[in-house]
Amino acid sequence: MAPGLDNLKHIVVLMMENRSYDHMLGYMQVPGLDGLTGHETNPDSNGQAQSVRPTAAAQKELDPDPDHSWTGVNTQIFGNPQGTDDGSPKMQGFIKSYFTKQQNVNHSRNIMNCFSPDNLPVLTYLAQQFAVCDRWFSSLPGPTVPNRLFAHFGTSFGNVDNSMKFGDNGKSIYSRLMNAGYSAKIYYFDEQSASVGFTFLLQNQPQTMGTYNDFKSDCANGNLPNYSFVEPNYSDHANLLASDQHPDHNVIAGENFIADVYNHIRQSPLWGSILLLIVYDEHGGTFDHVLPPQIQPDGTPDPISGFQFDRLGIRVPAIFVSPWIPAGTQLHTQYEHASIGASVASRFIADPTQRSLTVREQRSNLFTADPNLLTLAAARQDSFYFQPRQTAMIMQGLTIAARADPSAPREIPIPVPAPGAYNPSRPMGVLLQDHVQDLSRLEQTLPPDQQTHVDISKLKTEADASAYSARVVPLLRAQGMKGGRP
Amino acid sequence: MIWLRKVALFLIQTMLLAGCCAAQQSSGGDQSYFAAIFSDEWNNIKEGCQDKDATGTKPIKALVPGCLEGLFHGNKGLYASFANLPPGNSVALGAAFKDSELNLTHWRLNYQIDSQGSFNGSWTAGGLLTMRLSPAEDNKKQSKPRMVVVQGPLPKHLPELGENETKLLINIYAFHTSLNQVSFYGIGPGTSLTDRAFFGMRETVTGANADCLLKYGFHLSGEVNGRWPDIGGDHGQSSPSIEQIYSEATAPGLTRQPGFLQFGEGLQYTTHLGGLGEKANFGIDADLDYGVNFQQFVAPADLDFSFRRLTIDATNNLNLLKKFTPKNGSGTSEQFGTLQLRGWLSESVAPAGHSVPFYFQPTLGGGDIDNQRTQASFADYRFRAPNALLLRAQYEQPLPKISFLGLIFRADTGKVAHTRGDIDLSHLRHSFGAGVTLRAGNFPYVTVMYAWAGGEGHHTFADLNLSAISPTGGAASLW
Repeated sequence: MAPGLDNLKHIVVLMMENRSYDHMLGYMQVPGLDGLTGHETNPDSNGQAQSVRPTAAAQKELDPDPDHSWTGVNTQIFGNPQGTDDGSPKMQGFIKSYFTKQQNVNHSRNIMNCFSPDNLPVLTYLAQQFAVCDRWFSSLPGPTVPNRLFAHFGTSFGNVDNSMKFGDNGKSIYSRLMNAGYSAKIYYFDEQSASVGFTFLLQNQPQTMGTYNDFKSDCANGNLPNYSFVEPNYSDHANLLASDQHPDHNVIAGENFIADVYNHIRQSPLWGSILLLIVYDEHGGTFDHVLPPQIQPDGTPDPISGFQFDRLGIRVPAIFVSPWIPAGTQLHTQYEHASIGASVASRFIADPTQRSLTVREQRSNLFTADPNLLTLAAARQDSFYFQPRQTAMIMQGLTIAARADPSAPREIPIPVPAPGAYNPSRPMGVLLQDHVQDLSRLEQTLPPDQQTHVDISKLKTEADASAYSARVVPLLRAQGMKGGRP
Repeated sequence: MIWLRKVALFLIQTMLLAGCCAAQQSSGGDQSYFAAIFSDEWNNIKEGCQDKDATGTKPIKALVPGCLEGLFHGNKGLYASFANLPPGNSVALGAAFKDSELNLTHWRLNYQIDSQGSFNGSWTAGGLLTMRLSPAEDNKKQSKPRMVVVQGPLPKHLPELGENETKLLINIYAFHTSLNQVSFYGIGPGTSLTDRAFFGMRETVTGANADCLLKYGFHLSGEVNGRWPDIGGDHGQSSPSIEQIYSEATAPGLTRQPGFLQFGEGLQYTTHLGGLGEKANFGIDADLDYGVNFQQFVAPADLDFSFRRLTIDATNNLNLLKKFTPKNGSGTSEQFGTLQLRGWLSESVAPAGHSVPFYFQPTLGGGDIDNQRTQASFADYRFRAPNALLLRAQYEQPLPKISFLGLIFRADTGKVAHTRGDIDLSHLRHSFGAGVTLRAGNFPYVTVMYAWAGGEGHHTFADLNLSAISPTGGAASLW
C-alpha cells in the first residue's frame, strides 16, 4: 500500500453548490487538463454564437437562478427538455435554457461567463498545489437534493427532483460507518443554514451532526471523525453571507470559506492523515463543454420522468488536498458523487460484505484507489495558509522586521496569471512541444484502431496541445495506466 | 407628526405596489426581471400541480409535495405566508412577495412585502429591505491581491475567513400591526390575576437599523424609526376593556398616544470558545452573545412621554461535550447537552414628570409583545413595568438512541419594578418548566413544555423555532 493511503485515517468532503468545471476552472488552461480553449460557443436565442468569456463576477450575473432541473439540464445538453438525442450538437443549449428563465437575450448570454483564475485565487491555488480532477461528474442531470443524496447514500432513490429523504434505515454512509465501528459526521454551517441531513440523520444526532464551529474545534483538537462532510452556509442570514457559491450567492464568500476549511485542516494535528476533497454538487445550469458520459442503469428509474439513470450529470470541479499529493497533479479518471460513499466505505470497512454498496457505488471508481493521487513516498513538509489582504498588509511590517529569521512566515501573492497569461492561442513553448512529442510516441505503442491519428506537426498553439492531450491521455490510461478500482 | 404617519403609510402602499408595477416594465422587447420571476413561479406551480406528465399519472406522493412547494415555498415570487402574532391574537395567514437576490456589485439585497390576518381580526402588513455589504472583484487586483498565501508555519490563531460576516448590514422597514387583544394586569410587581383587562393595539413603524462589524466579535448597531401607536378598547371579552377599570394614572398613555421618534445605539459581542481537548473525555464549548442597547423614545408632540431605555442581554450557551470513541475508528466529539444561562435587564429612564407609556413597557410572564416566552407558568403579559429583570437556566439534551427527541428543563426567575432602584435579587418570582423537544441536526426545533410554580397555576405551551425555514421567521412584519 502506498504510504499516503497507509496513513489515510480521515476523509473530509467539502461540497459546494451549483458551478460547473468550466465555469470555475476552465480558464486555468493548464496543458493536460480538459478545460476551455476560449473558443467554445453556444447559440443565443437570435442564433448568434456567443463564446465563453473569462469575465464572471462574484454576484449579480446569474439572477434569476439558472435552470438545473432534470428538464433544464436536458435542454442544456440535448437542446430539448426530454433529453432526446436527435443527432444535433450537444452541450449547445445553455443560453437557450437560461433564456427560458428570463427572456432577455443579453442577460441569457451571462451563462457563458466563466471565472478567470485570478478571480478565484483560492480554488486555483489549491488546484495548482495539489490535485485537480477534470472528469468528476455530478451524479445525475438534475438539482441539488438528488445529487447530494448520491453523495450520502449512493443513490437518489429514483428521484430526479428535490424530494427529501426521510429516515435513514442504516443506508447512509454515516450509518454504514457507525454500524461498522467507525465515526462519521455532517458538519452543517449553523441552524439557520440547515442540511439535507436534517431529515434522514435522526437516530444518532450527537455523533453524526455538528456545526461548522464544531468542525473547526475538531480540526484543532484532533477530533475529526473518520469521515466528515462539510457544508457551507446556504443562506444570507443575520450578518452572514451565504458561502455555498450557489448562483447568485457571492462567490468570493465561498472562496473565503474554502480557504478557511483548508486553513483549519492544514493546522490540524491530523494533517498527515487527512484527504480533503472539494467538490460541487452539480453544475447549476452554468456552462461546461464536456458531454456527460453514459452509464449502466442502476435499476431504480424515476417514476415521474422515466429517467433510467443511464447517464451522469454535468461535470463539476473536484480538487483533492493532502500532503501526500505532489503539486500539479492531474486526475482524468471518471468519478461521480457515488464515488464518495464507495471510496469511504472501501477505505474504512474492511469486510466488503459490510459496506452495503449500492449498484452505483459498486460501479463507480474509487479515488482512494487512484494510482495518481496519493503518490508521494513521504509527506510534503512545505506549508502555507491563506489570509486576507488587509491582515496580510498589517502583518507585512512584522514579517519584514523578522525577515532575518529564515524560518519566519513569508507572504506571497497567490501566483495567478496576469490577464492574457493563459492565452490559448499562444504558440506552444519548447517544453510543451516536448510533452506533445512524448505523448505521440506513447500513442504509437497503441493498437492502430485506438490511436487518434493526429498529425502533431499541425499542432501549433497551447489550445491545440491541450485538446490533443485530452484525447490521448484517456486512451493511454485505458491501456494499462487506468486509475480507479484495482 | 401626522405627515410622517402619512409618509409611512404611503411607503407601505408603495412597496406593495412596486412589485406589480415593476412586473410590467420591459425594455426593447426583453422580459423584465419581475415578469421573469412571476413567469418562473407560475411555471413551477403549474408543473408541480399537474397530475399528469409524459409517463402518465403522477403518484400522489409526488403530486402533493410538488404542488405545495410551488405554492408555499421559494425565495422569489408571491407565496402563502403566516405570522405568529403576539399572544392573544393567534396565527395569521396571508401572502408574501419575496425577492432574495436583487444584487448589486457591492451589495446583496433581499426584500419581502407581506400581509397576514388572523381569525380574531388582527392583522399585520409591511415590508423589509435588507442590504448586506458584500465583497466584489478588485479592479486593481494585480497590484493588490485580495487573498494572499503565507508560506511557513501556521499561526496558532488563524484568520477568520469562514463566517463571512458582512461589514455593514442595513434594514429598512415599514410595517403596521393591528392586535385586537393584549392583556393588561396593571403596572408593577404586585398586580393580581383578577385585575386583567384587554386592550387593542395598533402601531405603524417605519425606519432603519444598521449593524457594523468591528473587530474581535464586536458589532456596533444603530437605529432610527418613527412609531405611531394607537390604543383602543377590547369589549365583549371574558375580561373588561382596559378603559373600564384603568385610567391615565394607572396606565400612562391610555388616553393619548403621541407619535414617537425612536433612536437606538447598541454594542454586541458574540464569540465561540472552547471545545473537546485532544486527550480529554469531557469538555465544554461556549457560544456567548452579549448585547447592550440604549434607546431614546422621543414624543415631540407630548414630551411627557419621552424616555430612554437601557437593555442588557447576556446569553451563554454552554455545549457539553464528550468523546465518542467507536469500536474501530477515530474518536470524535459528541455534544450531549446544552446548558443555557441567560440574564436580561431592561431599565427605563424618565425625567421627573415624564412617564413611560404602558404599551412600551416590558412584560414578564408567558409570551410578550415580541413573542418571547418568559416565566411560562404565568399568564401572557402577566407582569408589566418600566423596569424588568429575568434570569434563566435551561438544560436540553437528546434522548439516547432516539435523538430526534430530547428533554428540556427550564427555570426562570425575575421581577418587574416601578423604579430602577427596585431591580435587585429580592422578591423574585420563579417559574419552572419541563418538556420534550423535537430535534434535527442535534438541535431542538420544536419545544413542548409544561410550566409550573409561582402560585398562579400552570401552563402548557409549544414553541416552534422557524430559523431553519426562514431567517425572518415567516413574516417580514414581525422581527
